[in-house]
Amino acid sequence: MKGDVDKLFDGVRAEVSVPESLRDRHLAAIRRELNAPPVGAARGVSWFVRHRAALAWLTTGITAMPVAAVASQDALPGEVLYPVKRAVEVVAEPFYPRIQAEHRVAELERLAAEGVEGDVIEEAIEAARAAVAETRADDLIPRIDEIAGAAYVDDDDDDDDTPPATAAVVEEEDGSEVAEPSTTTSMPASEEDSDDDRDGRDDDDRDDDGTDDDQNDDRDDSNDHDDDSSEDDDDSNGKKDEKKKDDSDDGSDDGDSDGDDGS
Amino acid sequence: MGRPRWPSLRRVISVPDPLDHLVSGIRERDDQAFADLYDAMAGPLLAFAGRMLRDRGAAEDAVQQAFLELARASHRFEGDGRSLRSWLYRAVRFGVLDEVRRRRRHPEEPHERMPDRPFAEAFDDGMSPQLESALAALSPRQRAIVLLRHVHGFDGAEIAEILGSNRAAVYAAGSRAEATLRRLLDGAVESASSPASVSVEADVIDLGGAREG
Repeated sequence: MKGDVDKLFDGVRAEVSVPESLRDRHLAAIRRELNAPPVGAARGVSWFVRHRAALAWLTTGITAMPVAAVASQDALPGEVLYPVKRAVEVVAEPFYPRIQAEHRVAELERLAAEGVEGDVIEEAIEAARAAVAETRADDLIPRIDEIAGAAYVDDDDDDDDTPPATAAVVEEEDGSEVAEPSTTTSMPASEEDSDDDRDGRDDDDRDDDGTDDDQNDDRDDSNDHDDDSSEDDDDSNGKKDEKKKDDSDDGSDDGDSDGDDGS
Repeated sequence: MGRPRWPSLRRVISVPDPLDHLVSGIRERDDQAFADLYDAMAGPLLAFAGRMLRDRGAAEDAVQQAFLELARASHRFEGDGRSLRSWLYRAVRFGVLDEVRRRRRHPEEPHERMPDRPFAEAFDDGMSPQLESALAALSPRQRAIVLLRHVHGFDGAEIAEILGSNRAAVYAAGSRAEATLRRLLDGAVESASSPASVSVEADVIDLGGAREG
């Protein structure tokens, strides 16, 4: 089968002559190409030079990690490096919850000393309580409670250990605000439940419309009679009004607004 | 095709190749090695490209491109002299395919104005006009297989490597091409007075089927 076709190609030359001019032209082009600067991953370029960008990033990352870890050790909650500090603790001291709890309490005290308020200090208090709950460092609890009481934060975790001072402070705040409009419904409620700080304040805001009416009395006298005459019907209205006003709250109503959020 | 599909015998028994001593120089981008390689290979490559394209200028360009390609990639070349030869044919074939595609985009360009048999006269390559016309009737791929096997002496595995195909496909396309050649040449012998029956237009149309086969 192959043989007869092979015969067809008998005498067919496998190459043709290349004229001298063509050869010179081609060889000159080849020589130019050989002497041209090599492109891309050519020979003679070391691996380190070709990957210098990746190596630079790698070096930067390796250097930056311990720097961030050391720099984060003085961070307080709410700061950029604080998560780094917590992560370092998780790696470095997983078996020393007592140390972590002390760190949390120390941070809390520093925050309080700096006068930080709002979500940051609340979260710090929560974190401190959680850290203390994991260990048996009961001696740290009063230090937390001192700050927690000063910050008017609910003590959800330990009702028993709440020192009377905290309850007194909160009660005074509630009482002073509530007593102003001279409404009779709210005062007995808060006094009845004053044995338990948290429940008392929750009852204040949740059970009766007296508080709502008080709020309205504070700011809008015209609604007073309507609310009194039809307490049950205007319950939702009163709460809405109150929330609307809480949005534009100023510092004097902190106690009440916190209580509402808690309920 | 009762041929056994074993690895190429030339791979099993390492046959020395005249290009073997050039490989190290090529890898080191040595001028003299490239010149020697050119002197050894330009003639066969030019014959191959010329018969594929039937255009002397385009064939010369394809050969030059192949060598420039080697100059760019030589530091990455691995293999012996025989694979260096295959590499060059493969590069020339890429140049040929580029030219084929260019002609398909501009079909009215010089190719059509070419006289019927310019190539053998320009090259003095000893190919009969009947055979050349019959080759022109094949698809470029079939023509490449026939030329590489019967003129340049490659075996099935090497042709498959040059064409970027596998041996089974090469054998099948090769046997079809040979059957076509036989039929055309029988007809051409009978009507030897009119070899132009297998015309240049047939070649141009065939270029469209570059991937067929």
